[in-house]
Order: sequence, then structure tokens, then C-alpha cells
Amino acid sequence: MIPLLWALVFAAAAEVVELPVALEPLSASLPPAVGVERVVLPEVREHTLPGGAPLWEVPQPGGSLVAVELLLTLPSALVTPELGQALKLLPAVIDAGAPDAPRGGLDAQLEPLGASVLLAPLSTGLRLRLLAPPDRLDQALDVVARALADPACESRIFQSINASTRGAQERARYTASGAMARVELEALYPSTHPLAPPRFVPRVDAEGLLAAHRLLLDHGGAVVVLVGPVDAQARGSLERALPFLAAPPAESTFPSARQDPVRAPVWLLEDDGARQVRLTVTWPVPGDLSWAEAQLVADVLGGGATARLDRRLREELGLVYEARARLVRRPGHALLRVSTRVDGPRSVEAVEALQAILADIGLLDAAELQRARATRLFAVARQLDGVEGGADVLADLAALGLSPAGQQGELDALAALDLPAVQSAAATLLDPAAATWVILGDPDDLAELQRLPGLQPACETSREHGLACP
Amino acid sequence: MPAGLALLVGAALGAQPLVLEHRAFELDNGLRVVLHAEPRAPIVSVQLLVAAGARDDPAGLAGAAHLLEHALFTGTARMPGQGFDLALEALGGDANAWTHYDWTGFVTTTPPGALERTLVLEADRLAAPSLDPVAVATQQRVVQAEAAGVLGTPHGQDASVLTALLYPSGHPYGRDVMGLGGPAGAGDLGAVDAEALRAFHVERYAPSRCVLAIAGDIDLDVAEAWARASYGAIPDRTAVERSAVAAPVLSGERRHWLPADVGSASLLMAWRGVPMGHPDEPTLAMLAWLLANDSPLEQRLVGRGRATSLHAWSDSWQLGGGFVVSVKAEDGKLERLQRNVDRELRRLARDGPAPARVERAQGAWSHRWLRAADPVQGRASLLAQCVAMGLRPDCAGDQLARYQAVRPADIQRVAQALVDAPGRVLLSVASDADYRRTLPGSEPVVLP
Repeated sequence: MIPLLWALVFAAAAEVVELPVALEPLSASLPPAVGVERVVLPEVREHTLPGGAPLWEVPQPGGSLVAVELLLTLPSALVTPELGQALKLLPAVIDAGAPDAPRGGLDAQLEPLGASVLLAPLSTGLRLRLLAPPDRLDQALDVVARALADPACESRIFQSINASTRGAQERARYTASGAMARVELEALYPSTHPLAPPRFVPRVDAEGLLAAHRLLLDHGGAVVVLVGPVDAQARGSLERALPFLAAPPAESTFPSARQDPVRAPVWLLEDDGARQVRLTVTWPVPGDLSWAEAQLVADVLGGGATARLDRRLREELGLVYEARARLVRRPGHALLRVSTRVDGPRSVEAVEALQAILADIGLLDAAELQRARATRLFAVARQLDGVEGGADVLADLAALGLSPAGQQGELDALAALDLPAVQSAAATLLDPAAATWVILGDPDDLAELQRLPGLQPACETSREHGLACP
Repeated sequence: MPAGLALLVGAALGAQPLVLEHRAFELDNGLRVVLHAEPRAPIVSVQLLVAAGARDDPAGLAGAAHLLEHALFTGTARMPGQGFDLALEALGGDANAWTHYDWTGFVTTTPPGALERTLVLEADRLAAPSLDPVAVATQQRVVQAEAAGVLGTPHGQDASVLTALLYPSGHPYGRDVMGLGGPAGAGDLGAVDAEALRAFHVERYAPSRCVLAIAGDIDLDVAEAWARASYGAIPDRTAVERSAVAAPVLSGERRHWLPADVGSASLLMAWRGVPMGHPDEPTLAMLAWLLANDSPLEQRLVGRGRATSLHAWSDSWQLGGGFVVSVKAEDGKLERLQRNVDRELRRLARDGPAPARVERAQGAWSHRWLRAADPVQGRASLLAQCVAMGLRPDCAGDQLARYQAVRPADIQRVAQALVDAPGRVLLSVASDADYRRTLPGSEPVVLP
């Protein structure tokens, strides 16, 4: 029998979900349904690896793969621009394997085992996800651990990695989405912030890279997540392979986004000949709002097909393919971002409609809140489908410095929020004076948009040179 | 009642078995159902595949299948407007859909306690969408915005243009799925109105053309009863025969240039592939992996800085397939990249791959199959696809076994077949400023 590791708690039948009257006559004969009232996260068994790193273990019997996810981070205060650039290169160096690895690095060693690894940089370290068949976990962990502890970083490998990563970074600066992301980061974060884009891409040599790696192991620490058909043997494999991982640094003061004042509220980026106008509107989440409040405001605004943005802009007006609002959660702070694309000639109509939606958001009703709450809770359940999803959710928590118990508390708080609380949060969060608009499009379309109230830029902005504020 | 079935595959390499226990049955109206109980997570994935896609778009009405997919979210006679989404999201559920050449898929995830209601809602929109003219016109504009987003993404239209060039002369795969036109000419989306969609729905969405997969935290007996009660109430009707147009032989080397605002120019080299189910389907997929993953070709091109990326893949559809090698480079002539790819293909045809490389490729493919089958949503998708292809519901295990059975000599044979192919398409994708880098003699592709 498969043990019940976690569960959704459902409310008693039909009275929980009241269908709108407009849904008759089918609604009159619909069978009873039980909506989501609460999500119970899987039981996490907490252990400690020999070096001090916490291990979060979630047994999930029945699958064919085990997921190991690892976040290795430094205290943010140690991260200089040069170190930040070295950290961006580090995953590729580790991916090339230990000094005795064959050409092809980790992939060449893991693929014959039916395993895979994914490495990604973080602003203060790196994230690694290993997927392996349970009976090959020991071998796969050995391969990954040796590369993590002692990457080869030969000059040939380093030069190749450095060139390709720098090239990709340079190219990203000039793509439409890359330029928009960069401008948003410049507008929202002080230049000293770890997330602020560097004015230039610092050069890193092989020695600097190895020094960054050493610093990460000596002064950083890790959280390790293990999900799947695991047992004491799997835990033993982790203890043997990763004894050098210490506990993560206590990070109580990760710097926040700038709250007040925003440098300028509107940034326009010209893209000659662009068929569509792309726009984002971003608000820093005030420190006195909880995650649950901010998340529900985002979901009511643009969390699904029936949220306000898609209902109005897509289903009623046919202006956009998709319009979404997302809560971007980062260590110590969060942003709420609205994003969409619209054909240039219809961009004025779309922005006027968007402004009207934002102005009315405080008037949300109980049915909207019910949908937002149910879809958010069930979205967490969907994320936990499979070993990868389960490991990702827990690793995301670790990246934010949260514990599984902490997230359970947040989910329960979200389930309990009432309408006045969310209405109040919406009014606080979606303050027009705190919004940063980044709009990219053909100059003719941008000229039309500037006729709208509140959309006059205060700074010169270009895709090549970024911001030039007085 | 059919007994539950299980399949264990994967002896080679000591690979993990891919086991998908299921219950399969057919309703009186011809709709095929497959159920899979997996209580690891409290979710249920409901996937409906309809054997109607862009290849079925009527003449002069390209884009009909895709627009109908959109329109099925805009209300029914008994549940008008956004009623479907409103009812589903009130319970926490989520719905999406996709359209391709051969099939249209409707993918819904729902809490277990909402499954019966979800099936009633899904069956209602399959049976009797209202296809209101105003809503259809709105969705036409939404599709235009969707297409503009694809066109505005660097390399976003490469794959559809390439397929149209591989299957020219009026072949169904030459049509643009969204109906906005392509190398074959202007699009028809504007002509697809509510009446056309109604006819398409009647002719193409018969229950016997549909496969329903339900996977997740379910009781098999209860789910079967609900599926029979909801979908079984849809009257059977005769569907129009699907066209099975044979693709004319692709002869000679066809060179084209797609002018596009892309950062790095790219070269796509494409050959006709094989249809799904063909014995060489896994062999071509393995050849693609061997060409582009940590290969001698990758070392020559990417490792030495001559290219920024190298990818290869093999697609198989019902009426054909495509084998594609894609190389991107920031500078230099694309012709040099082409020569390198051709040289490596000839080498594989002459010498075959090293057995250790084939073993590694098999490990990588085995991992892909197990990974796809790990989440409940992936399992529902695999089961539905197998039934829709006319195979056993648990064909994923068979497919994995076919990959494990590929030998170096098989790879050598299909590489030789590509070298000897009577025709192929070479598509350079580059901005006007990079025109000189494209292959000599390339004919410009004009898009609407």
C-alpha cells in the first residue's frame, strides 16, 4: 500500500463552490463537487549531512527516478560584481566534470547510467538537480560530488565556457526580452544590489573562477532535497558523497528592491519595425504585506483564464493572446509584475483597458477571490506532481530561506484570507505611484502611447546603453 | 470489464522498467477511454485527444482546427460564455489546449473531488459548443495576436516554415496551423467564421475520433462509471474520412533564405523523416542525438567557436516526418557549417557510431522516457497518445524497448539513407544585413 504522504483537505460537498447563476441550465444538473480548501505539503523528514548541510527527504514510493536538488550559496554580502560573474560561469565548469572526467563531462558519465544533471547559476551561488534511477543513485552521486568538490577547469574548458557565456550574456542584452529585463532591474534595484545588472560584464580568469569555487565551498553552505522512492540506503549515499557541504549561511539581510522613490515610472525602449508592443508593469511588494496577500492580489489580477486581465483583454476585447500577473519572489522581498504583448496598432486601446483594470482592482468580489484561492492552492498541488516537481518546490523554499513548516503556514494563511483583507492589499500594492512601466515597441507605436496620461518617460533609454537618467 | 494490464520493459543496460498499469475500454459511441490510477499526488489529469488537426483544415479555411480549439473555451448552449473556465477554476482546476497537424488536445487538471463535474463540463463542450459568431471573431483576433508573438520571437517561425518547405505542393503539412499563411501563400484565418467551425466540429469531432485519458488519484470503477455517464451520452455520428495525401517525392536540394530579425544567423538542414510507428523512428531519433550531443561534429563547430549552437532532432507525424540539423553562428559563411554536417553524416554512414556512444544514447533516451512518465500529467499524455496512434495503451514501454534495441549498424544504415536521399531542404535564417552569409542560390521565403 502506498502511504499517503500528503493530501489536499477538501471541504464538504456542494455548498463550498457556488456556481454563478449565469451558468444555468447545466449548472442546475451538475454533479456535486469538492473544491480545494487547504493544501497539506508532503511530510518532510529532516536530517543533517556530516558537514552540517540540512537534508530534506520526501519519500515518494512507486516512481522510477529519484531527484536530488542542491542549493549551494554564499552570504550575499560577499558577492562582488566580479564574483557574481564567476558564479555565473561556475555551473558550466562543474558540468565539465572532475579532472579525470571523459570529454563530455558529467553528461558522458551520467547518461550511460540513465541519469541526468541540470546546473544553474544563482546570484549568490548555484543550483543543481540530479535525476537518477534508484539503483544508480550511488554511482550518479559519486560522479556529481567529485565534480562539485574538484572541478577540472582546464584552460581549454575555461576559455570555451568563458567565451560562450560572455557571448550569450552580450546577446541577451540586445534581445527584446533581455533589454526589458535589464531595464527593469536597473530601475528597481540600486546599483550595489546583487541583482542589479552590471554596467559591463567583468572579465574572469581561470584563477578567479577557481577562487570563487573555493570561496563557495569554504564560506558557503547548502540545503539538499531528496525526493522519490528513497530509503536509508539513498540517504547513506548522500552522506558518503557530500560530506563537505556545510549548513547554509544565515541570511537575515538580503537587500530588498528599492521601495521609494522609484527612479522613474516609465521606460520606453524603441524597436524599429516591431509588430507588437511588449509591456511590463512592476510594483515592489511593500514589506508589511504578507506573501499570501500579495499572491492573491496577483492571482485575482492575472492568475488564470478568468482573472481580470485575461477576461477583459483576451476574452472580451480580443486584444492579446495572454496577459498575466505574477508574483516574483526573491530572498527578502517580492515584486508583482504584469506582462503582455499587443499588436502595435491596438496598443493604445490595450493600455487604456489595462489602466482601467488596475484602477478597479480594489472592487474585486467574493467569487473572484474564491477562484484565485482555489487555483493557487491547487497550483501548489500540481507543482508537486512527480519527483522533479516535488524537489523543485522544496528547493524554491530553500532559495527563499524558508522551511517546509514555514510554507505550510503561508498556505494556511492564504486559505484563510477574507475579502476585505485582499481588497485592502490590492489597494496598497497596486499604487499607481509605485509602478514601473517598461514598454518596448516600434517608435511610432511608442509615440502614440506617450499621449496617454502617465506614460511620459523621465529618462532616455536605449537597448544598447540602458538608462540615462538626470 | 477489461482487466488491468501491465508491461515491464527495459532489460538492456539494466534500465528501469516503464510500467503503466491501466484500464482501457470503448464507449458505445466509439469514444476510447483509458484510465490510470496513481495516488502519489491528489490531482487528476484529464486529457482528450481529437483526431482533427491542421491537416484537416478545409480548402481555403486554413486555421480552422486551431480556431475551433480556441472557440471550445467560449461557451456551450448550456454553459454560455466563459462558464467552463469559471466553473473549473472555482474548484481550483486548470485547462489548456493545443493544436498540431494531426491532433488537437484538451488538457485539464482537476482535484479528485471535482472529477465527475469536470467530466460533465468537458463532455458538454465536446458535444455542443455554441460557437457564437461574436466570440469566434474575438478569438480570431486572439489568434492573430498569438501568431504575431511567434513571428516577433527570434527563430519563432523557423520550424513551421521548414515543415512547409519539406511538404510543399498542397500537402496538408504545408499549411500554417494558425491560418496566417506561410511559404505556400497568404492565410485564410479571416475566412474561418462560426459557420465554418460548426461544420468542422460536426464533421471532425465525432466521439469515435476521440481518446479520453484520465490519470491520477482515482478509483478505477468510479472513474469508469463517470466517464461512461458523461461522454457516453454524446450521440455517435459519422465523421468525414481523413485525407491521407501521400507526399510527392522531394527531389534535389532546395535552398531557401528566411529573412528575419535574428541575432545569430542559422542554417537548418532538413530531410524527410519517417511517420510515427515506422521501424526507423527510434533509429533516426538516436542518430539525431549522436550527431549533436558531445559529438565530433559538436567539437568541430561549437568547441572551436565556429558555431554557437548545434541541435538535431527527428519528428514523426502520422503522414510523414522530418529530420533536422540546426546550426547557429554569429559570423562566417553558413556554407562552411553545411559542409561540416555533411562530412559527419558521411562518416557515420561509412564507419557507423562507436558502440559506447550508442549505449550512451540509449541511456539518455531511456532517461527521457522515464522522466516523461514520472508525473501523472505525463502518464495521461503517454496513454492518450498511444491509443490515438492505434497502439496498445501501454505502448510507452514498447517504445522504450525499441530504443534499447537499436544497434550501431541500424544507425549506419539510416545515416546512409540520408546521404542518399533524393532531396532535402537547406534553410538559411538571417537578417537582411547577413544576407551574404546565407547559402549561395537561396530563394527568399516571403511570409505575410
